[in-house]
Parts: sequence; structure tokens; C-alpha cells
Amino acid sequence: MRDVVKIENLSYFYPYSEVAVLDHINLSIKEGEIVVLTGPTGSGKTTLCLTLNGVIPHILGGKLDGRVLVDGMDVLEHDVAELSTKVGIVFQSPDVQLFSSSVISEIAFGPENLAIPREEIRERVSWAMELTGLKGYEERSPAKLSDGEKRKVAIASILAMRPKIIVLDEPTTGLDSIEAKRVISLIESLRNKYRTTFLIVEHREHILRLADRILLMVDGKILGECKPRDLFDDEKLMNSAYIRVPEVVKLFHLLRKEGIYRGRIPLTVEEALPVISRVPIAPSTVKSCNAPKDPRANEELIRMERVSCGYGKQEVIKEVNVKINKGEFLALVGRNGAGKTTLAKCMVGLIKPSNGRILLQGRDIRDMNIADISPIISYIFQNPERQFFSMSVEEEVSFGPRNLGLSEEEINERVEESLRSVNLIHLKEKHPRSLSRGQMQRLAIAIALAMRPQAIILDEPMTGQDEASLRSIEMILRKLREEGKTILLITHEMGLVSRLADRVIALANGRIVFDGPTRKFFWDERAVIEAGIGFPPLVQLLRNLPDPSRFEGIVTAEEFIEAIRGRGK
Amino acid sequence: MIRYYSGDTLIHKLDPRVKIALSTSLFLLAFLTRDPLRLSFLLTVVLMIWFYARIPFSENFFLKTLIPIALFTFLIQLLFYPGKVILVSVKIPSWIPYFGGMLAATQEGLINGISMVLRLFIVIMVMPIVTMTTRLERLLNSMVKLGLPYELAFTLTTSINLLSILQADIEDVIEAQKIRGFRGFDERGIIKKIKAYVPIIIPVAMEGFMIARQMEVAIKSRAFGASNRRTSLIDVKMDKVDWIVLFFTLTGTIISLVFFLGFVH
Repeated sequence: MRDVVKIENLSYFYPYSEVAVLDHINLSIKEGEIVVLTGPTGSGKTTLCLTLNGVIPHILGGKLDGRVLVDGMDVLEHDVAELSTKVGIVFQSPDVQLFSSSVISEIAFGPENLAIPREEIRERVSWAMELTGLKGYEERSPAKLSDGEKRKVAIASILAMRPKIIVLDEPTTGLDSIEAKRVISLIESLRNKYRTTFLIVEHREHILRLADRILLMVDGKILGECKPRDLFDDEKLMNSAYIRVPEVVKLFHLLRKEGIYRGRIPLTVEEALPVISRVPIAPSTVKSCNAPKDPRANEELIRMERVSCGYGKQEVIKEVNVKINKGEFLALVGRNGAGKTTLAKCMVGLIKPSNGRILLQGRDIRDMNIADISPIISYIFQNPERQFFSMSVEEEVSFGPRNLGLSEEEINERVEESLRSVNLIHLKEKHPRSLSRGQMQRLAIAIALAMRPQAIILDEPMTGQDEASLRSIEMILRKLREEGKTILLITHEMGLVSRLADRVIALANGRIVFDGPTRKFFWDERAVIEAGIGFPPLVQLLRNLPDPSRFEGIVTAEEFIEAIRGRGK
Repeated sequence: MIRYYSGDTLIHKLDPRVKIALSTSLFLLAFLTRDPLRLSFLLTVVLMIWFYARIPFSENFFLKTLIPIALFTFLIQLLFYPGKVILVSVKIPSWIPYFGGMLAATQEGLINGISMVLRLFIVIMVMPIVTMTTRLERLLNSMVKLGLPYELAFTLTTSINLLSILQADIEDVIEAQKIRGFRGFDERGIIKKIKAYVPIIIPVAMEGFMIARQMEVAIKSRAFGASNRRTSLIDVKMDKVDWIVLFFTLTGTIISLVFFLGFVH
């Protein structure tokens, strides 16, 4: 098979920079291959992608050494428009690549520029819409779609150009598990049907599994490559490559350590099923894990009574009743567009309920200003980087306390303390928007902490973070939990929910479909299906074992091991 | 007042060029006459098109912006127009120059005031007949057909898009400041309000540059500027209906011109 991408000794420096973002890279990709590029943020993955269609160096400038050949064309000798028929890039942020007023004209934009006959454009557009499941969206405005839908439009607009090679930069970031699965099956079917070649930047396991090859990139160098199977078989490798160990994989590694299992590590639930049924687990001796975590004070913090709210006439939240006590760690889950963010914004007064009432420590929030709510609940927006406005990290954190009218001394103390607790104190002079994504999220947490609130709401803090940041954010959350802070976590990461949350509230179409203990939620078939989040792989696996009720309540691999260790006790 | 609202009326389906011709004619005619009756006739035509095409009235805009401006214009005309036939007058101290000791509303001022207000409404309401009933792409397309270079037309429409992204950004920052206890946006005085908004502008402008840069990359990655002959999926074509409407627009304009310019009484 021939190479459709050939990169020889590629080094690249951004304008006015002496640091090599790409450092002597050699890489060949064969037609129809799926190659996944992984590694910590800032390692040059996106930069490498941008050399493939000539955006680097033709648009972004800088100094490029070495050679990049795409389908036999040297990118230095052809412009971006010419290369666009060979390589299509779907960028990480959907917003910057959607600029038309309807989905159909968005998708047609590329082929139109290529002067393709109108009839053929029509065919291509409807083909791309069919594949991405966008039929019926023709006249919708891309700007008003959900994140998942936007991503599909971005992919469709690239498909319509029929490129040989498709580059996807973190294609499933921010998508719920059902949307993510759609993207995955789309990649697979394009490869199988059209022999499309893929280069995908990603660190999440569901994409890594698709790969023919996984490349690990650190500091502008490709450190090595491996097959998914070898990667998941090697715990040390996963750790050093900053890859999250999937729960099912982790389970088998633990079983291996226990000496119960010796074979290869299965990658999917389907693979794991025949294997796990051979693992000796005595059915009657599994220890019950249903004991609740430490009981907390029963002091009520937030109460929502039949609350409906939304934007204009459109009601997003419908008649919701919620009571949250002090010290609870809650996860708010549900599909994209289920109303999670709206509910959170309602709690902090950013959206006024159209019906019902919200009590904060017994006070109706209708009688309170948003500024009065801010020292009680802090809300951390999704994509916090878009909301920084100060010239330094320190200033950014002090903004809140200053509004509370505290003394200069107290302000400084709070800034110090909150920056220390998220480990950012060494960067306090930096400009907030110059931080890395992970640091920005930690800064957002520090900003919330500086208000010393009773409760913190985090809206998808894990979106777009690399594994190293994920770990540090999880540690911070764990610490806050131990300190007894009330936390409401909005997330698609069910692994995180199962490790941290005591209680789950699941939303679907603006209504609560489940409110109860976490371990009960993941085993409640009706609730999981209604919430549309999909079973966590581990639970799915255990549910398929004979007599699954004996495992009920187990949500992590560690708990499972603990349960079977209980044998003989 | 420029956002597109979808609809299925004849006005929506018309070739944008015909709509541009129609609204330009109305616009020009409004400046060729001062007669309140003729202007009322023109405004009636505009209003009929608005109602027919179900163009949504923005209460905020009409009540809070247009009507106060109209009232102000009317009063100025009524009191300051140098007319002769005095309707009502109030004595004022004669040391105030210009008035000659009297503030008077004249008949000429009244008529002129009414004309000015009518004209103001026509001028403001004529543009939405094109912009609020035409998809941006179709408008862009017909502008290109009318001779505007595609690159320029595209840049114009994309800038409008970018502005709406930046507006969303400003709203985000305002929300972020509010939930950090900032009360500046609720302050009453204009100076305090300006003081609250100024610090937002710098980060949003920075964000704007970054988005614009990323957009440029995305747009060029989709073969923008690849070929001089660009196909367009949406074809703006003159149909039979378009020709008929254009014919009536032109004849109507000519007849009105004859009347307005006073050849016939």
C-alpha cells in the first residue's frame, strides 16, 4: 500500500520563536490507515496537523525545515486551497469553522470554492448530511445548534470536499457518550467504505481503540508508536503516555495483579465477556458494597420547588424539584442539551425562573441580587478561558473578593490561599489567557474558592483537558470533597461520577429522570436509558454476568476487586 | 433590524435584486416629496409589505428608539420651522435670541414635522424588507451578481457573523463578572455604566482577533479563493414572478414620479 502522507525530518518554529514546536519528525501514513496522535497538551499535535494542508507555513508563517508530502504533493509547493482537496481538517473548536447562516450552505462552501458543478455539489451535500445524520437540518443556523450537532456539521463540511485524508482534532471533546459513539462509527464506516485515511488527535480510549497505530508525541517529538492492544496491555506505558486507563482494562490489570487472571487484556466489553465468565468468582460470597458513604449534616442549602426556566419563551427546565444539603457531592448528568447548564445558571440567578421558586438557605432568590448569591454559590462556567478579563492571574482572582468589599489584607490572604490550593501560586503574575487549558481550569476553581462559597458548581471542568490536567483537577475535587464543600459537578465523564459523587441527578429534556445515590443510578436500567448516557463499560460487563444482582452497586474496578477479595472473610 | 426571519411569502421568495429595486425606489421616492399625503401613501405601501411578509416588529426598537427620535424630530420641526401661519404661540422673554419673544407652532412647521416623521419611518423600515426576508447567502449571491467582488461580499457577511460571536462573548464576560459579585452593570448613572463596560472591551477584542485568525485558517482550509469561477449552490435567478414584480415596481415608480414631481395635479 502506498503512503498518502510522508513527513521527512520536519522541524517547525512559530514566527519570532526559537523553540522548535516540531522537532525532526518522520512519519508515513498508508492509505486507509487510522493513526491516532496522543500526548500532553502543548506537545505540538495540532501544529503537526496544520502542516498537512499547508496552513503551516502558508498562513501562519514561521520557519519550516524538512518535507511534508501529501498524496505526492509537497505542501511547500502548493497552496492551502489546492491541498484542501487532499486533506480536510476538522478543528477542535466547532465555532470558528462554522460561518454560514444555514447548515446546507455551510456544507456547500468548500465544493463551491472548488467550482464543482452545481448538481454535483447538491449530491455531495446530501451525501455528507446522510452520513453524519444531519438530514432535516438543512435550513438550521449552525450557530444555534448544540455542540454535538455543530461538530457533525463541521465534519460534514469537510466530507463534502471529498478529501483523501481527514484530520480530526479531538473530535469527541464535549460530546455525550451517544454522540461520541456516532462520531466513532462514522470514522469506521468512512474508512471501510471509502478507504479514507485518518489522522486523529485524541487521548480518550474510545478513539484510541480504533487506531491501527498510536503515536505518542511529547515536546514536538514522536517518542514512539504502538498498537492499541499493546498500549492497553501495559499499565506503565499508559501512565507515561498520559492515557486514562479504561475501567474494564483496569479491572483486568487488577485481576492480573491478584493472580486470578493471566491472559491478554481485553479492550471492549464484548471481548471481555467470554473472558470474565472464566474468572472464578464465587457467586454467593460477594460482599455488598451498598453501604452509603459517610452521612453528612442534614442542613439544607438549596431548594428548588417546581422550577421552570429557559430562554425567552422556550422552556428548557420543566417543573424541577431539587433539594441539596450542605456537604453533598452531586453529579448532574444527561445528554447535550438536556438542560444541565440552564439548571445551574438558574441556581445562581443568571436565569430567572419563569415558574416555581428557589430557596437559598431559606431565602427566596427572587429577593436577592446575583451579587448576593455569589458568596453562597460559585458557578464555574464551561470554557472558563472565555471569561477571564484581567491582566494577571492574581488580579483575576482578587476581582470577586474585592466586590465583596473586603479589606486589602483579607483579599490578599484569600488570593494566596485559593491559588495555593490549586497549585498556581507560582504563576500569579502571568496573564490568565496565556495559561494552558489545564491551568485555566484550575484558575477558574481558584476564582470560585476565593469567594469562600458554601457550594461550587463546576460545568464540565474536564472538557478538552489532557490526562495530566484531568488527574490534577480530580485531586482538587477530592480535596474539596474532604473539606466538606458542597459540590455540584456537571459532566459527561461517568468514570469521574462513579469515583467522586455520592448522589446523581439525571436530566432528560429538562426533567429529572433520576435523583438518588450514585451506585443505584448506574444499576438502574430505566434511569440510565432515560438519561441517555449509556452504561459505564464496567457496569455493562457485570450486568452481563450470570446472576448480576450480586454485583449491584459496584461501579469501579477497585470495588469489584474488593468485593471478590471478600471471599472467605 | 437586519436579522433574517424565515418565512414563506412571495416577498421571501423574490429575487433579492427585485427586493433591492423595490426598496430603493421607495427610499428615493420618499426623498422626492414633502407632501404628507404622498408620504403616507408610501408608508402605507411599506407597512403593507411588512404585514404581508410578517416581518416581526421589534417592540424594543420601535418604542424605545424610533418613536422617541420621531417625536423629537417632530417637535423640532414644529417649533423651529420658519413658517408664517401661526397655530399656537407662547410668549417667552425677548432677550432669548432668534425667537423674537415668541415660541410659535406654525402650520408649515406642523406639516413639515409630519412629513419628516413619515419619511423617517419609511427610510428605517425600507431596509428590513430586504435584509429580514432574505437569507444572508442569497443576499451575498445577488450582490455578487450585481457586480460586488465575491471576496468583499463574503468578508462583509462573515464580519456580521463575527460580531454576533463577539456579542455572545461580551455577554459571557458580563455573566462571569456578575456571579463574582460585581454590581457595576446595575448601576444607574451613565458614567458608572460606561466604567463597567470599558474593562470588558479589551479581553473581548483580544478574543475577537484570535477567533478571526482561527476563522481565517478554517475558511482557507475549505479552499476559499481556489478558483476564480466559483460555483454557487444557491442560484439567484429571475423567475416569471420576479419579472412581474419588477415590472410593477418600475411602472409604479414612474407613475409616482410623474405625480410627485408635479407634472400632473
